[in-house]
Amino acid sequence: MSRLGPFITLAAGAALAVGLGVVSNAGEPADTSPAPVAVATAVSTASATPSPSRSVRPAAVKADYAGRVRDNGGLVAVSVRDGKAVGYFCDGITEAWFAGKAVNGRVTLKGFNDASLTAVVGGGKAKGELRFGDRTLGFSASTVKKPSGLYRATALVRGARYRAGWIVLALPDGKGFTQVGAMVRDDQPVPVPTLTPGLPVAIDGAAVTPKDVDGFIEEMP
Amino acid sequence: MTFATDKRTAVGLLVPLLTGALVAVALGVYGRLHTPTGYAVGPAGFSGALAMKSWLTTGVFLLAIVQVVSALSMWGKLGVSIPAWVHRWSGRLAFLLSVPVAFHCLYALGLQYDAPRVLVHSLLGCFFYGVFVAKMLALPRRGLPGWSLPVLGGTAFAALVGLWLTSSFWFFTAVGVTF
Repeated sequence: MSRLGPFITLAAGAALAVGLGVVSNAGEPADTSPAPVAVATAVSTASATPSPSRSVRPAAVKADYAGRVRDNGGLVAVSVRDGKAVGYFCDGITEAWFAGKAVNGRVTLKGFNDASLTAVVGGGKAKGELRFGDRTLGFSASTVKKPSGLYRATALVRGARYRAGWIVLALPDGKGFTQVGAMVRDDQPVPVPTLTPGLPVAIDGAAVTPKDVDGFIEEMP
Repeated sequence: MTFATDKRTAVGLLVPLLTGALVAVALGVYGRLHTPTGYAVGPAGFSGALAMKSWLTTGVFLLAIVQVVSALSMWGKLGVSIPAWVHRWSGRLAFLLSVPVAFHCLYALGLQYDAPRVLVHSLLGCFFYGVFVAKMLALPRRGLPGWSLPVLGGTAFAALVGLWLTSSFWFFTAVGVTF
């Protein structure tokens, strides 16, 4: 027994890890793509069959899109939740938040200072354009899965109001992620911390956990 | 003769150490290759994954102190005799408690190195399980040098202290002592 004990200990630990792996894997939608999805998505898609049927329906009830903006290099993210939609554009220098409606596969969002984002969503894509005054930028964004997507953090730290946004996008080769983000302190741009989805970021020494779309969409107008 | 025996005993550590090294490297490689999910199944009842991991790691840390004290007693350094099962079962419990933590780290977050704390924690985590496997494999072997188990156990404890400081201690100080 005492000679076998250590092996039983190791085997028990390995079995526990495998069990957690099986359960965690089952919690994700039946999808063969390498980037698995967080449980929030898994729960909502559990009742309906995942992606294939969703991409056929023109008006997705819950969908996250992210992609690059043409001729700019910035990233854009659009997320739809039951008729409500939010958008974010960021190229590391300028950023813009958008909020509005999604009706019949058409997303119409408004930002500050006559900025707007319009897109047609469906078939796993969101195609549209960003307008900043008289400047128009086209984009085409694909459906993304966590940890890719849009994140937002707002915090009051020692009297200063912070707001940060990030777009995380899986690299095309599937090996890693790229992200772009921006943060303002009392509406003035300040350096943004690097985001690790699911983990808090340090904002002026305070730990703030950025929220995903499900977490912050209620705060948007 | 003594020399020959010593040489043979040191060789006995080779397999445990090599296996441990392989485990450490394999965990690290998995942590890099597997796309982090940001989510993993684990013990319920906490406000979030980080709180769960911070408290489980703190539990492991306390059990590890029991490990060191009971080991000292085993080697006659304390003058009091602690039953052998205390050392065995506190170790087993600590290891099992640590598995959901390590699972969440590797499955949901992966091996990361964008901040010094995260880098140190990632590497120590892989190293810890390597040392632990080496210790487990060394335990049933007869005729190993007398320092083998204390060194392996002490190294595992040192790694665990580093892991606790770079995770639970950081969480309790940066985020707060919350469940």
